Amino acid sequence: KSALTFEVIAQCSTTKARASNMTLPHGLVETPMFMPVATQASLKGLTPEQLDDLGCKICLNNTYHLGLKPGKDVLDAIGGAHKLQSWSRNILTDSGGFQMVSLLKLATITEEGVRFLSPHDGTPMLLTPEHSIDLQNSIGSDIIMQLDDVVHTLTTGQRVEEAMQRSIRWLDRCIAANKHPDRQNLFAIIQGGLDLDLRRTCCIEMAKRNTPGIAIGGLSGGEAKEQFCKVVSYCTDLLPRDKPIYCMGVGYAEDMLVSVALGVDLFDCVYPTRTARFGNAITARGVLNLRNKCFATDFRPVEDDCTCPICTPKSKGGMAITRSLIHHLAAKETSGAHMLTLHNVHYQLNLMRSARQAIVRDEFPSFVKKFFATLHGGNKDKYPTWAVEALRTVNVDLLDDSR
Amino acid sequence: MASAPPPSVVPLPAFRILHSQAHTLARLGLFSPSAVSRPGKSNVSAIPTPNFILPTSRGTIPHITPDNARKHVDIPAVFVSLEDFVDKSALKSPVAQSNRKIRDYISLLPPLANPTQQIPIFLSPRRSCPVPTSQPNSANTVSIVTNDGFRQLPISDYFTLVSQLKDEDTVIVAPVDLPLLVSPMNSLDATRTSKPWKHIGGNRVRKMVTRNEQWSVSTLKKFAAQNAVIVPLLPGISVLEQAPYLDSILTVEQDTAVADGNVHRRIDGLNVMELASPFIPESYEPVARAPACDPARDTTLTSSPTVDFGILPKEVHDVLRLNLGYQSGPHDVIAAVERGHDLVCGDWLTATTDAGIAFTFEISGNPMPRDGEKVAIGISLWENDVYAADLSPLSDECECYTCKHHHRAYVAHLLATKEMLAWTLLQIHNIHTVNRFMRAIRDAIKDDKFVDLAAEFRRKYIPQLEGVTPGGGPRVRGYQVKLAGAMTNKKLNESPFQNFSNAS
Ligand SMILES: [Zn+2]
Ligand SMILES: [Zn+2]
Repeated sequence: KSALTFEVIAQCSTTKARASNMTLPHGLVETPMFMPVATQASLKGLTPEQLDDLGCKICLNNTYHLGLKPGKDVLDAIGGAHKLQSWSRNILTDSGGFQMVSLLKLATITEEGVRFLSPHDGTPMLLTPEHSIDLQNSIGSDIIMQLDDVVHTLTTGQRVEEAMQRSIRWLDRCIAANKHPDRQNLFAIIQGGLDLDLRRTCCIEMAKRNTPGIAIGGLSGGEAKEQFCKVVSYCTDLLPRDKPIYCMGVGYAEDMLVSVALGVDLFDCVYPTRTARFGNAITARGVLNLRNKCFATDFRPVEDDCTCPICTPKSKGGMAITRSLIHHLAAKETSGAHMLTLHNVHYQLNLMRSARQAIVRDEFPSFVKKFFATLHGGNKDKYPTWAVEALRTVNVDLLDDSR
Repeated sequence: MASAPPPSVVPLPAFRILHSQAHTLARLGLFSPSAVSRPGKSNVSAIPTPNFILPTSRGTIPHITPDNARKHVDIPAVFVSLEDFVDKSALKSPVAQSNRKIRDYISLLPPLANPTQQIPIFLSPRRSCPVPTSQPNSANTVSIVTNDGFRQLPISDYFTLVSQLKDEDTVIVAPVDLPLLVSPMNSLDATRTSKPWKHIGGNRVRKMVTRNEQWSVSTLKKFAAQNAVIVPLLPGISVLEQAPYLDSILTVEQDTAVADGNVHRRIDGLNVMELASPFIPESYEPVARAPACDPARDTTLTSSPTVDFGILPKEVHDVLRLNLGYQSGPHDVIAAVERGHDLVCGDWLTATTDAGIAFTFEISGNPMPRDGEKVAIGISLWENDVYAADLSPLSDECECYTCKHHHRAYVAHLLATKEMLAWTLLQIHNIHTVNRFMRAIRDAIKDDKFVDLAAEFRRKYIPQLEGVTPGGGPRVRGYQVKLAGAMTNKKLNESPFQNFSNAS
């Protein structure tokens, strides 16, 4: 009945990390997986072909943006977002609610939906769960997200519970509104702020609705990383084992790897593509700002031994781009940003691919240790405490090399 | 690596004329830069002419990453300017320290379809369409525009850099001394009428002739034994006035010693910077084949912004003619070919892409519109209300990557949302279209049908891009516009959510 199959193919014997095969209408997604964000049906200058060549099997489009341009009528006329951008792999869309609340100052939330003033002419408008699903049905994305009542992560008190309860009621309305459950998989979003009791209630209630997948929402909004990890780990313990778990808005390498250890399967973040525009290259040894003068005469590849299209030497079919050339182009020619985007997206996808391989071989703990050692140049004093502590809860001690 | 030719082998001329067209000066040729250093080798890069070369910006093909370039576009040759690479001290700039050929530094990759064939690079001190500088050149320096302001590039530094950066497929473009105010204007923004021609005074003319003679002769002496060299034809100066210059460059003796003494090798090409559109719609008449060296016509150049090859010494008739001058579209290209130019510069192509326009013209193929109405040479995909749901390719029957995989609706959407991919897809399509156009021109010359085809083209197409405000769309080329600013200031025009509210 749902358009998603989820099969756990390997479970880490130490941590909660797992490797799975998630099959969607537009093909297989091997988790853990990072999903790049193509906000307006385009990934920052890359052609869909380049994205495909990087091994990307699923990307995000933003419902709020596609609703504005090209708009629902055009999406209906064209036949959806896959056709719009000629992307034959999977697409995930958000509900539009998050953008609404974060981009528009005057959004207020009622039981009906999100009320806001039109950015066009200031007239009052309303985004209901039904509108959101209707628009996502027009987009035709393989995974659609419920409209949830988003409160800021650091909100406390009655409002957090209200938002959580309302998100459950809105999930019911979204399920009823979804015209294409046979080809569009609706994911629930767990709310409840940093309150573990609220998170428990929400997990239990949402799980009852038996959606094809479940997201952990309301995080990555400025809460302490310790709290983030606690909530994620708490939710993954409660959620059904046979469904993909998606942690929204997470994309820093350390955060993703720790979350994988805590049992998360899917991630998305604008960071790797956005930061490329500012000349930042993500590497296993940290982020390099290639606009820095010291890179002007650095003729090494962006990252040694990187297998991305720009770092790979010409003898192996790559472009052999140097740091010096990126420095030369940064902020002056868009193709420089495109090249860094290729590298950064490759980095994210490859990190998850390597993590998956490590899980399958049941070597995930040593993989994580090696990752942190490389990132911090072997200096354990630099390891973030939150990561050390979070990984201890799943039986990995980063500071202890013996096990 | 380029190496001196073995003794007894005379360096070959890079350019050969394969066929001359009756009635016009149009001609079919083959320009093989590496033939100079590799005589007799068959596997050399070659540019069939007439053709275009694509100017790079900071060494990149605007909007296109090297992987897409090698996979999806077929670029006959690129123009690379050193002013894009040097800063305070030219010889200490990163490109000089890189210990790489310019081709490797910018990662200009051979086409996937033909991986042994390198794309020729025309290496020049200044851009093909240079920004006028605030300071004049001096006897030993060229005034250039760098990333951090105006600089004087010593000619000797230019030579040192070129020696270091060139390979056998590099065409060396000699430095040009032009008066400050003279700057080719070949963008869509320029009006099509002739630029008011600033008369160059007698003293300046003499200085120009002397300097260009020195610079060109030095360039030839340094590089002509191993590389194809292009020297300027001075615009706006009569052939009589530049006769000493022309004589000098025609008699440069190479230092390359071969068995029977010194080898005389002539220039491989002339760089012609025309200063106005050769094509003025109302009064245009195709150039008829002119008698060579007609002395009566000798003075016409003095005030003419265009060049008539009929009046040049016949020794330079069979060298490559590179037109770095004014072109704003295919009408100008046809006019240039009619007057005997072999290579045109593609600044107008990128300018069209920057303006959000997809070329739809063809030199032959689709029939004349029945009503005799002329049609536009392109469509502006900014017209979102027209193209928002148009799933047809940018141009009918186009086989480029963009047209095979995408449609007008997507490019229109990308433009409307200022997504950078819009310009990538447009550039791929526009390069493909111009390639087809140039191929059709060559075929027509070969079959002696060029005159008819050119006339038909003029009957069929509006020379200007109508409905397109020149420069009306955002110009997003490189650092000329801060793209980030444009993106954050975007207007949210309409909301779909209103419809839902009404509907439910
Ligand atoms: Zn890389
Ligand atoms: Zn095309």
